[in-house]
Amino acid sequence: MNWKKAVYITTFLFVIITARTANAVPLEYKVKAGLIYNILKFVELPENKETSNINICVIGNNPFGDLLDKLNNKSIKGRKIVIIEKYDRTTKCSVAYISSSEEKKVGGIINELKASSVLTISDIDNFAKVGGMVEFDDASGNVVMYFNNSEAKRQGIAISSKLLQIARRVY
Amino acid sequence: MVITCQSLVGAFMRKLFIFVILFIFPIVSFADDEDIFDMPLDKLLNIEVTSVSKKAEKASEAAASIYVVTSEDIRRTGVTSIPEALRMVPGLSVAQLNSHKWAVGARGFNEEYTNKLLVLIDGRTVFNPLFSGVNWDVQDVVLEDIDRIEVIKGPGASLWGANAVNGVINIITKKAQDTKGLYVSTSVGTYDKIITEARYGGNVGDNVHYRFYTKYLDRGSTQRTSGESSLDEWDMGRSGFRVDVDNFLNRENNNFTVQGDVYLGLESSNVESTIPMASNIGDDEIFGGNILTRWKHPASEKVDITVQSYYDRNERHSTIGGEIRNTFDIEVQSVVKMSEQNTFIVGGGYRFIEDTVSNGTLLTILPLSREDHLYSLFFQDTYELIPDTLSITAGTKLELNDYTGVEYQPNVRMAWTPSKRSTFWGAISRAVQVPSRVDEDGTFAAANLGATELRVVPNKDVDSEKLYAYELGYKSQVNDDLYFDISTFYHDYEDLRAGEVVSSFFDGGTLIIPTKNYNTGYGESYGFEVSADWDVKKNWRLEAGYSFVETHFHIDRGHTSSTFEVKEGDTAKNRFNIRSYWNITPKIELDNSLYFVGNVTNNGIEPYVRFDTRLGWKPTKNIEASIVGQNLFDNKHPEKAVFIGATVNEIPRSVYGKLTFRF
Repeated sequence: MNWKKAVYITTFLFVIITARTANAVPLEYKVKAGLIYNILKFVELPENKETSNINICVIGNNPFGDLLDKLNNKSIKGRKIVIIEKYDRTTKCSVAYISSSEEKKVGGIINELKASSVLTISDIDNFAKVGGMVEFDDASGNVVMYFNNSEAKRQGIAISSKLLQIARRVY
Repeated sequence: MVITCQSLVGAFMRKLFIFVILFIFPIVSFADDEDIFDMPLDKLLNIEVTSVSKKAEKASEAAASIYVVTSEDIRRTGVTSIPEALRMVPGLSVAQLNSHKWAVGARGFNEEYTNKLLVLIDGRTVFNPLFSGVNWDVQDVVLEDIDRIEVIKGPGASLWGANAVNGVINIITKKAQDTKGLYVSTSVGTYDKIITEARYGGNVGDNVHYRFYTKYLDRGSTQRTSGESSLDEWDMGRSGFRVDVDNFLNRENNNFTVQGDVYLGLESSNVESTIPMASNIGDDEIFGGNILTRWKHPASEKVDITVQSYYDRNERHSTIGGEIRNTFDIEVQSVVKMSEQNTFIVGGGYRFIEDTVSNGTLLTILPLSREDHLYSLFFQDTYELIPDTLSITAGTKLELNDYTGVEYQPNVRMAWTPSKRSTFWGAISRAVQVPSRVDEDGTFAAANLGATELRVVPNKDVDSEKLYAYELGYKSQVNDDLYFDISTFYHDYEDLRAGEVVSSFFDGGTLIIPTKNYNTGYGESYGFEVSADWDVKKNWRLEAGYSFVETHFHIDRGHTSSTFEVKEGDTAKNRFNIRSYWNITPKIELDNSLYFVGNVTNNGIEPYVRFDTRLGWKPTKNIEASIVGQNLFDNKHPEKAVFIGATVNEIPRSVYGKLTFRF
């Protein structure tokens, strides 16, 4: 019966070779990308003196592939979205997504952004607890959100009560 | 039939292969993701991204001891068959007898044909009335398509009917809506040599979803204690489909499901025994299939009606005998919401079973063909004495069967939910186990000692076995991260069948010493089951279960049986398992499972620990690669003998690699 095995192995090797693997952002990050865009509709970001755009900075490795770039054509409340992947300290961000690659440096990054009214978003554990504003958690199967509303208020960012209502936890 | 099973297997495999190549691959559509940015918030938040178990929420309200094995449990423990997945359920005892036989029992009674446990796959019973038990080798699906396995420990007879004495196992597959796209998976290993599965799911319009699958497995042999092969390898192929129609007949919430499977397999056996005659070598040829329809129809706002019917055929041919069995079943059930507090369920069913057996040298079943009818009726009412806090459920099942006549199986259950997070429950129930076809019609040549033969003879008047069960339990979602469940039970058995030696006689020149089953046994068992799920960290989950059971059997005064009371020693009293699912990174998973089983007195099975580990890697959402080591702690170990006196088969250490594609 060995021919059977040979046939099966060949078949599955064939599938491996032909499998289309490009453009494969994990589902959780697709959902998170969608959430980031949606959250912006419910958040009042302070006006920026230099630009009317909403600059979304990705700090650390970008887990979204080219998905966020699709937001470059969209605008919210008349403000154009600009995705900035190459972040350095001089970049003016309205929103900062801090990638989980920055887990060890997260305290420092939050401190750095503290005075500049940036909406900070991350899926690093305890992000909202330690002074970040929006934390995604997918441990329960679907993505849930934690908000640190007192930190957002302190920096002049108003999060709509509609959004706070659907949060799992608000600090 | 002139065509042998072997040539059928060959032909079947060729067809399967052509089917896969011609049919599945070309129609794969690499559909683009829906535009995630157009989705509203609530939808986004409801998308399952990691599908970690929801077992706590599902099981926490019921007034029964329920354990749910989720699809995530199955994937992450790396188990490759349904009985293996049941090892994690506290209160079930799973022992592998050889490469294709498992003994699965609930709350004791761990025999190959555990007659007190009912098993259903998508509402179709797979309990075989020939020996009263489950042939686990043919109970298989694409494991990825299992939504969950709900295990009810203790009697479920009031709803499910006879033989749901010590437990009910409900294997529930996903709706076709949830298995869209192509799934292809193949495993290659040292023991499970090849397991390969392909499934495709799609839709026609908005309301019709479908899937079809094909699966092939080639499993290796267990080993003798000496290290030699037990020569019990097996092959099996199966294919099936499921169609779910929403808004059936253009009516809202009307659902219609039709599903079916066919399978074909070849199994080798090589039983050696200290009892002369009981040894045998040979192949089992297995063939079967089923088709099921289910219609859920909300007749009004307050009344739901479900009509389900199925046909099942199964054939098994071996050197020790064979059977061809046809089962037709129809059930109607109606849930009536009488008021806010009061829910009434009423149902009825009819089952027709027709079988034809062929006899070998060991077992003679007469008549060769038999037709049986089973009529059933049940009702149950749940009343909330204090809304959302205290409820009482009472109901009974009435059955009329051709073996023992009318049987009634009532139960009463109470649930107290002082807070949303915890439930105390208690139940008292009665359940029966009706005799099998072999109990009534089978003559078994147990041992031929030259001039003397030990023979088990049938008893046409044998009655059902009865259980009165008393249960108490508590379950609690302690906090967001911890779920805890404990159940205790006391089972009181009456009219258990015990083999007694009756007057011997001469058949030719041989002295026959016959043993006949009478309902002269009784017994009790008690114990508890504990389980806990703990999300230690966002990326680390621990699940554990422990169960203890103590069983005592006795025989009525004035009677003796040499084979009855020893059954106490069939089951390990202590069982424990702990599983760890750890996402090292979002793409890498490391999972470990440890199962401890205490000693089994019969056949002198020593306590054993089975340790499995799985390393999974998901480079993209489409591909998953994993390597699984099973039974890593020892070279091999025995779990149970096919029967007392048979040479044990040992389960070897094994490794397999698995590659999965999802599009």
